[in-house]
Amino acid sequence: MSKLEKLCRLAGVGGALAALVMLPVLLAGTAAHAQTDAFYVNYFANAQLGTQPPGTPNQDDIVRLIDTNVRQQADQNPLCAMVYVYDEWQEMQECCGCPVSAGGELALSVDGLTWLPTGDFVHIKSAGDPSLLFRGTIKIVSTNAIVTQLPPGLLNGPCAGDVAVLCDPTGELYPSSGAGSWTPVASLRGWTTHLQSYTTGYVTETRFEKTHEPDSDLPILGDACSSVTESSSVVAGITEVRGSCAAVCSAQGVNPYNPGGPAAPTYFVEAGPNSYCYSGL
Amino acid sequence: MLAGKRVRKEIILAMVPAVLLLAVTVQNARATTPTCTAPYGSPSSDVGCYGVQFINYFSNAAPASGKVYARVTAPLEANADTGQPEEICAMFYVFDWGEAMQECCGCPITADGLLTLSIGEPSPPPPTQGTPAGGNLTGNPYSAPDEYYYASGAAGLQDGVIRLISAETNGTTTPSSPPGNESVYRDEAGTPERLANGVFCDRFSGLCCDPAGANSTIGTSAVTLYTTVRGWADHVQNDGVTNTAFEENPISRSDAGTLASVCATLLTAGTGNGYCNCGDEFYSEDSYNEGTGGE
Repeated sequence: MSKLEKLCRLAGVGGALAALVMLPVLLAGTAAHAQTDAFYVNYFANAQLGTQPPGTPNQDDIVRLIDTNVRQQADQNPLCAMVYVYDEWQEMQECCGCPVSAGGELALSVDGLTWLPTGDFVHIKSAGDPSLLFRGTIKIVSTNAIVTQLPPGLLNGPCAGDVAVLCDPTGELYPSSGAGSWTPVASLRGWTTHLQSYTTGYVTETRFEKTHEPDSDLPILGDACSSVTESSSVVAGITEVRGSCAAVCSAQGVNPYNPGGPAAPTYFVEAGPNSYCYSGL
Repeated sequence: MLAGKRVRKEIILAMVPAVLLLAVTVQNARATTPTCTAPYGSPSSDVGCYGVQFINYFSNAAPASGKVYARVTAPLEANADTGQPEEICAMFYVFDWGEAMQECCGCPITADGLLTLSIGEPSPPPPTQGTPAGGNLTGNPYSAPDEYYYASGAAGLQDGVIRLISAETNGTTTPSSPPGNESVYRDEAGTPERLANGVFCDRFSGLCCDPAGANSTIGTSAVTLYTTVRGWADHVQNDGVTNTAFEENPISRSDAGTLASVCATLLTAGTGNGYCNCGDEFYSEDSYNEGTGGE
């Protein structure tokens, strides 16, 4: 055996021993604040202003998300893109859970995501008018979905009787522990356009930035979302459920609330071996 | 020949655990070491901290280019499990094209808040508040060789670099608005109060951000790096405006200390120049007048 071989053997044995000794320590440290590649953030500006001045073409920004399907064959269940919308003063104003089929793409209207904020400060308006939520941040967290057979009945909405994909941004519908509990899942990537100037129509686009956030932030977001979606208001005799952007999920990039806008679907069904019905919560 | 193959095999075998160890160590460092607070004994142990420095550029910030923006958020939730604080500092160090620091400021930002600072001509001070004027990163250079003078009389940088450092709050003051009343005084929530040149405080919590750290006349503690912020900046191009995210670049604690030290020379020179402004860009203006850049 040459000297070089001996050195290499020693290095190999030493390295392996070091790895065996250090790995549990290092992995334990990782588990303490587990991070999944599931938390992303971007900003929005000039939301609700795409129709200014009145009479000009609507210029809505679009959030586009794709499921990169890194799970491959291990798990072909749909994912949830949990959407949390904040104003610039850090208050969560809306939230919703949007199903994304495996490998699929989702388009969300920013005007739609900001149409029904929960806070009076950014909401005061006449029924059917845009909100005052012009600027803020959008946080997207990809999680597992609840895949369940819904019994027929009006209360189960458009997915009644189908295999429904449910995405609850509060986490309350998920099992509290064990299989199927609410968990961040790495897979989504996203981009959003930014209307730079509603007078010139300049638009830019940036990707959502990974936040390196601990998984333990997810229940914090869920709790905040619970309090946001409990609000509602009556404006000009019309009851609005504020704080939820659920209708935006299946609207394919269209603002479903804009009275003058195109009609937006409230759900869609994926055909194939697994027939899933998707809608937002 | 056979011995040579064995040697290569041994080398590969030796490298596997080493690479494995290195990969886990790097991952672990990112996962569990949000702060770079531990003192370092020697320069060799002062390794780069990840997730705390973000860099972008600004361009063509000339009078005719209109106003564009840099935006920063603090996406991590206040979390007792991880020790993530509710309030973070976005420390800005603004350089001209010739590598000289021209402005610096420390801006408090709460979890999930959005800080919007203009690049280009600064806004006039709001009539009822005195300070702060609209937030601006480039309109008050220390001694810029390429500065522009706007119609308002303010000078401004044209091209350069913005280094954004994510740090812990490093000062306190008596808050001017009643704590716990953020929802009542919402229109003030985005208007940090100015404690001193370049040093701004949350008007509800009283927590402050001093970009010069203990180097300044009021600084009480050093700039302590803390992973949190994310940012984006507009760029005025020859035809229109583009926008990119700030790029993450690791920084050592000693480099961060140097930034703070240079910043201190700007803030303590007493010229009234050399610091940027964290004020709410939209407080004194129509809330929807954003986005004139590139017109």
